[in-house]
Amino acid sequence: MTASSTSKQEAEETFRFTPRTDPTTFEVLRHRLWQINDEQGKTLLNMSGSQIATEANDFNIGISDAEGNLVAVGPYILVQMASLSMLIQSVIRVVGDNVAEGDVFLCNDPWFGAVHQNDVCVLAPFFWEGRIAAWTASVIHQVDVGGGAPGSWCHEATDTYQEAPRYRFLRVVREGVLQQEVVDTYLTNSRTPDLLNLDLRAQIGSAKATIERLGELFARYGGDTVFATMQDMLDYSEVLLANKLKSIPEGEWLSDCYLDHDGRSECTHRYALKLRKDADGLTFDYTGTDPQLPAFINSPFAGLFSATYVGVLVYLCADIPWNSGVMRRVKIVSEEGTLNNASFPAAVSGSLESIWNSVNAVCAALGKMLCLSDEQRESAMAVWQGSTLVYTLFGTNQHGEKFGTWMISSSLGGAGARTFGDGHDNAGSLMAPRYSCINVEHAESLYPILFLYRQRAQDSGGPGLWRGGVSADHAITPHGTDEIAVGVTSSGSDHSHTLGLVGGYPGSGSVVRVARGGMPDGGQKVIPAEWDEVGGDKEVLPPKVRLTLKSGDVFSTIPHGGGGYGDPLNRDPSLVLRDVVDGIVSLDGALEYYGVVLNGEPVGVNQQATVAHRSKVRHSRIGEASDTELAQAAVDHGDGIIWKNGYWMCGACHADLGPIGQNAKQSCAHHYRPLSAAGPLIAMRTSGDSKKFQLSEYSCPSCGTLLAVDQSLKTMDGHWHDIRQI
Amino acid sequence: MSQGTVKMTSTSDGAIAGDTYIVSTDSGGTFVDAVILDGAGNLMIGKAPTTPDDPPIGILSAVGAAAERAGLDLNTVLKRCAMFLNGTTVTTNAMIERTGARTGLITTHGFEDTLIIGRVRSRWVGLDETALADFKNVERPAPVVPRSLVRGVSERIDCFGEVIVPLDLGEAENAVDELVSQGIESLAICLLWSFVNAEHESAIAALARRKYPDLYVVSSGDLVQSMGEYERANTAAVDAYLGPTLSRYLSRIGSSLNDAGYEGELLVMQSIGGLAPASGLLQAAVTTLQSGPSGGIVAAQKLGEQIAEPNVITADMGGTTLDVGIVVDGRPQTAKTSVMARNLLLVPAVEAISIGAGGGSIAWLDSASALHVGPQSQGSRPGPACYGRGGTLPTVTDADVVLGYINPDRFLGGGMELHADLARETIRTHIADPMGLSVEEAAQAIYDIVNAHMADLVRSVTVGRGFDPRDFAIVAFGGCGPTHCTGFGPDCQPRRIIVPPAAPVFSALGISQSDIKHFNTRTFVRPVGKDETSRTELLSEVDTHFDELVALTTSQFEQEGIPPERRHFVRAVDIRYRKQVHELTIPVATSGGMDSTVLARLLDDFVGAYERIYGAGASIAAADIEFANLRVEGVAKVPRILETPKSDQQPASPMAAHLGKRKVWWRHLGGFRDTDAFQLEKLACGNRIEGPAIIESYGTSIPLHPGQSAQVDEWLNLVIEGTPADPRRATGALTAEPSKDEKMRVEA
Repeated sequence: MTASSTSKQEAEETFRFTPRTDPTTFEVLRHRLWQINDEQGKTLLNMSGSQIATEANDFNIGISDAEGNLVAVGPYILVQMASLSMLIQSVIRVVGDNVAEGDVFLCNDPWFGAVHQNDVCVLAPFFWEGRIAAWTASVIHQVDVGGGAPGSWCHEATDTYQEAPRYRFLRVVREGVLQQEVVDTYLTNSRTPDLLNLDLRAQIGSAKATIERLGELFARYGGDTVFATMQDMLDYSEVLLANKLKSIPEGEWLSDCYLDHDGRSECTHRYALKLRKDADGLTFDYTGTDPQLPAFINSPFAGLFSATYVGVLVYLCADIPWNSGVMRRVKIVSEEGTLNNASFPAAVSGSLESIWNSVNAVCAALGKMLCLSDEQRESAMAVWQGSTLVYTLFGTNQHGEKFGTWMISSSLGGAGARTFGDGHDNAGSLMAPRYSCINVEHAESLYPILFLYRQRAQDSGGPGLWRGGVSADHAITPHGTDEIAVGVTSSGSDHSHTLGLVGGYPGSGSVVRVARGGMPDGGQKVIPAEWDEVGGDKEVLPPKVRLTLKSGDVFSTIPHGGGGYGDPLNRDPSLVLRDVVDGIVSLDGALEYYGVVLNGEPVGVNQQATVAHRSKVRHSRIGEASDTELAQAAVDHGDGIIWKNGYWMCGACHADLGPIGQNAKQSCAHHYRPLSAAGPLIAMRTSGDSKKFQLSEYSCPSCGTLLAVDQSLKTMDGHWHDIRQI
Repeated sequence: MSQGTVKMTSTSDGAIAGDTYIVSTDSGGTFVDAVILDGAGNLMIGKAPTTPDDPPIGILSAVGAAAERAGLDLNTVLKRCAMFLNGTTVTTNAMIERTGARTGLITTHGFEDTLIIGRVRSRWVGLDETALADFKNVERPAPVVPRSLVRGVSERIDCFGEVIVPLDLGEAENAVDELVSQGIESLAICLLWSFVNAEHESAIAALARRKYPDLYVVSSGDLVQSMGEYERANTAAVDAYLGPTLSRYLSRIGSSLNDAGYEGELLVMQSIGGLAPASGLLQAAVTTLQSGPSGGIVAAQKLGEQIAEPNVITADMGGTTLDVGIVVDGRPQTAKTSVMARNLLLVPAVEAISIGAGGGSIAWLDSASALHVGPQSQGSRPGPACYGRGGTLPTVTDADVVLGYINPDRFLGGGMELHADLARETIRTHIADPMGLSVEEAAQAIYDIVNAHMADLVRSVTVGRGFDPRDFAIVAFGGCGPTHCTGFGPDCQPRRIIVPPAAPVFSALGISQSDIKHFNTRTFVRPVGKDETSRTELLSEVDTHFDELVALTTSQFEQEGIPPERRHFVRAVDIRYRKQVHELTIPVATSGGMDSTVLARLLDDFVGAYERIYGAGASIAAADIEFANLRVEGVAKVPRILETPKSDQQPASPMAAHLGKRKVWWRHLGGFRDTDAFQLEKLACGNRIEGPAIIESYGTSIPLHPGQSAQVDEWLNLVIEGTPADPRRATGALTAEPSKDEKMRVEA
């Protein structure tokens, strides 16, 4: 299963785009098709009831040509974007000619493109002159579609039969008539049928509106002109990406990510990626990824395709219209039967775990690749918040009614550092340009909980020349109810999923914790405003867990901070001071991670002591006595290991790191350090010293600049050869 | 200004004595626009450059210019001025340039990061899709209160309004002291659930005001009683941040007006499209953030009343943006929240959706040689290449000049020289040559593309909200609106396109036609039960809340000296289906108490509105309905001068307004043609002009394409009808066939 490269041209030439119509028509109609899709999104948002769609924008919409190539997609959840294109291609394949004008289909089958069963897609054909001329589709993440666990993420499932029912293109509307018995069958399997009903109506309503708009467009401009524009849109995006790829050197970049909990037990499973850039474009080769498991975290190919798509769009298409055209320059290689290309009937309700890990791998590899392009380096970022971190709450609310909801913690995570600035703090997700978190008051009005605090998490951004974005911690306790059933899904608890770039450290890991009886006695009239003030019996929980919160218990989650960029010893001390004043880096952290000595009242940078301390650390990295003269950096800060004229060299002082055929890391000074060297919120279950992972640090032997920080398995020998010229 | 009340020199029916004036001013970024209306209904207009360092100078110069054109002198006008009105960008500028007061925030301990986290969405709110796709550059704007000036206090109230942790007033006092010692000029206070139980918040506000009388103190619940601590805190913080700036501005203008002979109070335009006396705004600076745009929409609404067009689309195109608003059934559409300078605010505003499509919008080719227009703009400095101020990139205005739509010799009444050669040169270098087009073809493409963006925005604002643009008239104003309305307008198939005579000062005109308005809102989430008992309980609760909201609004009117007979109150409820998030605001059809008939009507209206927006059959009969917010709008009519129709004028030949012929590019005629040009100001009621023609006025210019005609109505509006040609002609696919839509319309 690959999206193949269609056109090959000489590498030297700049690809030009010549529309089939003319430049004005192309620009006018392209804009209008986007406008129609935008209206589809607005209609859906207005009609949808679920907090997931309307608050977190966990949905997406798209319009495709008759073959299922997406020409316009919404800027909502990006993972669902690729999924939409696969779903449309599947419906075309499955229903064949058995389609009539006015039909609307529903599908949530992961083997037909859905990311997991919760993502319910509604598709409708648009007819022009008696033939299907386009498809419109929308997908919304549903709170619960049935199955073994509230929320439909079935931690204990070993195959998909134990999960929520899968619907394969149910015809919910037949020639304009709602098929109530079909809808009822779909609804009755859910624990939250009324929410599903509202969303289904929203999806049908927005499909109807879109088809009307398309009808007006075709009537006005003629079918041939619109068809031609749709193909032009695909070509246009492809050409823009092809031109951009020309400024990136050919090579191979490896990245590995790990799953530390499969839903039933803690584990270590690998997602492997080798990214190759050559004259044809990009190849994402996932060969080497571990086999699928009898656990709910597998993802079918749709998820892998989506993960790849997300990385390509975010890292390479900031200025390119998002549609299927870009994927013509992207090839995906993967073995079926693996974690992110699982065969039926694998359990897949928690597929987002595998997808998120795949996204992390894609982003890590793209970041390394872009750092080696002078023109495109600005687009490189370290890895963003790296795991699902959501929890479900089910029980009886403060008004005595049954309730169920998803609380999305991951939206509070940090973004990966950039090559020109810190990562965005509390950034939302790379998978969603419009992420959001709920107001405390809104959550407390709907659910029987009281928030103790919600605040940015100190030292959670991966240290670096530019630090990763910080995450946030929040804690809740039951309020107005006796107990609440909680189900948590996350990963990255015994290491970090947010790797740094070119010497930047990983961001903080995922943290889930409970304090039994953590609230003070009612008579005390105080509420702890940070975790350290919470009492009771505290425990750091595994990343996937079910528990019951009783009155007085306190539950807290912290998603990942973003990965850092570059050697933190090169960070401007005044920025470290600013972060300390703002409370997002601790005083100890300033010294420990950045080598900055702060003292005085009000606190200020001790320049002399800082210079001395940083020099000492650089010397110790390369095992030199502290009075040895180190090479002077030729540039303020490097971009890690770079290549020039057939040799690797240090980006800071340009010291020779060996011929291009070798692994440059072999020429570097090397140290293993515990994960806690990156921050206090990594591997908290084992107090920062993961049993399985360690940091592998590579420094320039001449100037002592940190050039690469790998997070590697303790069982791994040798130096990871992750950057190669071909 | 000393009395702090609104001077009402008129009779209670709002008429104004014959020898008095209403003076309305709109201070924009570049110009102050002024309108003087005399008791006989005559309109005088003037413009003068904005003087940001000393605002009264620009304002008085603009009024002076208008007076002068009518042979009056400024002092006479001000001495006989019944009301002086101002729309201002002073708060908008302070927000964009971040020059507001040093502001502190006190909030519930544990939630000090609420503003900086900004619900995550503070990073992207107010950005369009193109910007959003560039993840690395979507930066969160710094909150107006830096984190170092936020203090938490121990206290906690829950969702039922119950006190879980009592307020530690000593701690609060320390927090205030500490912030004052940090040099704050303003203080915002926002505690969790203060809109349900204001006890703690009020106690801190009282303490701060007592101890520091000069401190500008804003308590979130006094501004807005809505759920959602981030938006409430941000609204309070922005209000506190802007308060001192607005207050200084108002007092400078007030005293300058007093010195110049005006004795009444200054009235200021608010975002919601209503006025407020300057004294009333001292605690509500945040309501003036979209003061200007709302004026244009009010003017369009009044214009619609005059000419029996209850549904109006406003197209205000200036140098950098196109702002589109709509009036439906005679009411401007408003939004419950607004976004200003990328800040989400719980302030209702007349809705004007903006895109980067203005005269200064840049035309450019991307790496694949595809042509785009905007959203980047050259603004007014350096401006389009033809301004000759150093701008080198091709813009929309340059294209308009190349095509001959704008006369380079008579721009701003000849007050500013345009360089057609520079316009041609930049379009040739950047667009025409690389694309292999002639300069005129390239200019035509720029004109067509920006028009398509404008038509798309109009569709988004109407169709996206469930309205059909074919039921609307388009009113075009601003410097570039009239120049492009004949291009994009027909694409939306409106009933007709109107360019009003006051187009260059339309917002100022609208301000002169506005009423005093105050809004108060309270979050009130309750299901509407099915049985009588629960409904009766609900209604009595609703009555109590409405009474309180009316009392609050009344006290605002009382402070302003508005007599009881002028006060009107409109109640409304935000209603939604249970478990849905989006609600519709439905007016309550009574000014008295709620009863079961009123409720039934309210629910019917909700279902009707819901189906109109989301399509017939979209409502869910079985689903429960709930109330979300209660709203009270207080309206006080102010004295008003109405313009009089000019139908009594002799219908002269349009040739009286003829300016001669000049060369204009008409694609449909195959190139440049000698074209008649007319002076808009000299056209009289009943005049009719057939395209191709150019109609020029002070401040704008209207190309009338072949196939279009313009008729001057009794209000001297230019009413444009007809379609220039099917847009497909632009594609080279020339066809005389009307589109299917047009056919259907003709048959209908």
